[in-house]
Amino acid sequence: MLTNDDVLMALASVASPDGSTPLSQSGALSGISIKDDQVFVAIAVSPEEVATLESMRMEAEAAIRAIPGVGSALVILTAETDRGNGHGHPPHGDPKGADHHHGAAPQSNGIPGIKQIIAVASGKGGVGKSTTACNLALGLARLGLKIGVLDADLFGPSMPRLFGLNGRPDLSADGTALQPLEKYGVKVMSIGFLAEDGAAIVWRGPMVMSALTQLLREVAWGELDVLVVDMPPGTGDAQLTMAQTVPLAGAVIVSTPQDLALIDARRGVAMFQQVRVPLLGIVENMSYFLCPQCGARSDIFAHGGARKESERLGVPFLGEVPLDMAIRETSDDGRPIVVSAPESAHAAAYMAIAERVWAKLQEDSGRTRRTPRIVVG
Amino acid sequence: MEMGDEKTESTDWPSEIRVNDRGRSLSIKFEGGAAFTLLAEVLRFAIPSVEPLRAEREDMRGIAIVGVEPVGNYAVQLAFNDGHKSGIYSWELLHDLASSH
Repeated sequence: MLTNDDVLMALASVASPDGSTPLSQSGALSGISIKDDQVFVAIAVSPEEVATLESMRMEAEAAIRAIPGVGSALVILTAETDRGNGHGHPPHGDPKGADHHHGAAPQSNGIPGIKQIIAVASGKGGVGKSTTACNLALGLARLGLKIGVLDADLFGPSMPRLFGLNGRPDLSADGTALQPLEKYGVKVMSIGFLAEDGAAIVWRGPMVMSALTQLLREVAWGELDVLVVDMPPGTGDAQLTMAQTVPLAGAVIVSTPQDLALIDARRGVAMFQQVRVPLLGIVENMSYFLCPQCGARSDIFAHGGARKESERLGVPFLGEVPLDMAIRETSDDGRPIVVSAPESAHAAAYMAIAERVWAKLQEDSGRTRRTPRIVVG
Repeated sequence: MEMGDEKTESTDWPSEIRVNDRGRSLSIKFEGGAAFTLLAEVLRFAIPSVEPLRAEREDMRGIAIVGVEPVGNYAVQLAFNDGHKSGIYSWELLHDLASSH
């Protein structure tokens, strides 16, 4: 059984960012997580160091991989950004100041092989965002598209359970990326595959960004028509980070019909508008309750609220999904309703949403804004 | 509420951003065919940043752009050789600056 001490011992042979102290004693280690034969280590560095410390990162990965019993190792560098406070202010009379090179030639921030990335978000937790993301992804796959799902909810990853996946990702053949797991024809990546089941990883703000970036970019997604990103609930830092570091083709907001949830949904809409991510539309989840005994329909949560709200906001309404035991049970069992009961009315609701999302993406792609070419000459 | 979605016309959308003359100026080509060049001083002076730095340096001589990073689909973040690098320049801002200089 691997322990943190095994990892620390291995890292004693790797020099820390200061060049002399062993990494294991340097205080730069900000997190170690072990799951069976997999090791995940985070090293905190300053943003300026990121480019130069790649060799240290690889050395650390190699050292951990050499521990008997380790199957795979992932070491990430996490950098604190100093945005918003007046660092780097040069002394007066020295206009040239320190040279703040932002690394090598700037590059486009798209992901090779992935045609479009969409976010599924909600203003608050508990509205069924992840269940919607999962079934939407499967619905898109049923339309014949190549689909991936990135579980960006680092604090409460639910894709492993929703897809019934608990394997561990392998490293790609060239050793530089993780292979996503695959089920029902959809590729899935989640921090839940890397961390201990139920063991909460405590993320400091700046680590969120680099973990997300790695889950997105250091995964061998291959060719995808659409990558569906299950966002963490809310409208905080992690959500803004995603919206700013990933060229999102659009966002889907999930809400329940109650007024309180809609207020938060509105916040979500505003956030995406602020960062110029097109709103693909709003989904009303737990829209109404179909009694399994008598078939009667009850509008438990004031059904229709999200439709009215999307009209008010000028955002497309994508559809409504009933509150239903079958959806809950299949979700908990890792047999999402779109694949376990494809002919059911509930699956049809998700399929209709998937079709609208896909139609909107195609309609938009004609006038999708590309990040401009950036040239340093 | 403001609808940000369609606020930018496609003619205002940049197709290329080029750093010239070792950071002394920035050229922006818009999809509508318009092209502008903005001096680093102008961009540095107009820095849209929460840092209290607009007035602190009157003399902008020697200022140069040392980094350009895309921010989502709507802006670039410019880094200057005086250490300021938190300013996010939206396409609108670049367009406004170009039209007024």
